[in-house]
Amino acid sequence: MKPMDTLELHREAYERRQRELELREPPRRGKEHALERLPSVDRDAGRHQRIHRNGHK
Amino acid sequence: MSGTTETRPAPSEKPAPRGRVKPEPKASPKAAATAIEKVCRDVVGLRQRPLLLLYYPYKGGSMEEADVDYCYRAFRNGGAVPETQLESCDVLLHTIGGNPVAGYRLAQCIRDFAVDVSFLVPKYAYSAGTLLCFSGNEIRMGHCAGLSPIDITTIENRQSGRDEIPLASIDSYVDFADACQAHAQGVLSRYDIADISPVGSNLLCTLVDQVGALKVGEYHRARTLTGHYAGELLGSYMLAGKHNGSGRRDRIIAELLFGKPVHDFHMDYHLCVSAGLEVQEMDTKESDMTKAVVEVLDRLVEEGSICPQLTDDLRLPVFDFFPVGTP
Repeated sequence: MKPMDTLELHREAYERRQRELELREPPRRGKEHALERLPSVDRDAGRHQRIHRNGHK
Repeated sequence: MSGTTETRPAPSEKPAPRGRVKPEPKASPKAAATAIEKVCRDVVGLRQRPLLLLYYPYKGGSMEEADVDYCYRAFRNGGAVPETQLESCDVLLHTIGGNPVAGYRLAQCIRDFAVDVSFLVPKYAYSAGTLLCFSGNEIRMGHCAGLSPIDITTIENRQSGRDEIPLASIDSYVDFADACQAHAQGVLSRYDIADISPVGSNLLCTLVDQVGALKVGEYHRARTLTGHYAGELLGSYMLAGKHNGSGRRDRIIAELLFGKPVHDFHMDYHLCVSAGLEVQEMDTKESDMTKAVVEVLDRLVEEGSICPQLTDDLRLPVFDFFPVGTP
């Protein structure tokens, strides 16, 4: 009997990835951070994606 | 065989009015897990080998280095350990590709757990997925399934939006510059002019100006890296101990890294055989059963039951390991 079924394993992997994504983009403080974050959350996610994927497919 | 009845609407339900798309009811986590388990167990039952499932959704499913940890955990969750390698293992792979480093690392992770590996490709395993398949002792392809070249496509996030540039485009441009130079020299020689035309160098300078010298260097470095990984996987696993293994390895790399006209080139069973890969075509039953796994997962993605978004354009894949005989 496996400790976790497919969906439980999937959920655990999701939580790990979310934590990793948060760790790789440490929150910055101050005015600059506030200005950069304000326009859209999506833009921030896009930047993370670029760093993470290293541009190769 | 499909094991999909839990989540599909009952046949007696009235169809949605024309022009309106009725959303699929979302499966409960338990029903979704049961549906996946059922179709994967069918494949294990047929093949009598443990099965590792590596499924990437079509939209946003990209092979990433972080997936190596997920793959490792899937093996461990199923009771496998590298110290006691499995005698054999099937890997059901469905992906449009991703990062070649991730493809290589997933390959080595899988080979740490199993002595003999067969990749099952029900529909497609493109790009980095093809690279991953090089680590199998064989690739078993479903009906109409395909692999692809492993040429590099670089992704540029420009202000105008996301732009994908196949490295083959640069090669083609260099060939074009070469042809232009030859043509210009031909014209000059017809008029007995001994000068060397600057047309070829001008065209190449335009390319470097547009893309950037460092970027051109980066593209070529990336391709060298992919070629190195491909050679390592083919030499260590698929062609290890095979007659003329190193010659075949070089031919496969030349074919799949440089020889195909475009990156989006579907290589079916016949093209894979002629490229020199160790491929087998599945029989109808195996093909249907493995396709059923992909179809169940596709439907669960459509319902929003699996593969949540990680970032704007990246979704989580689904991995799991199913040992023989222990549900």
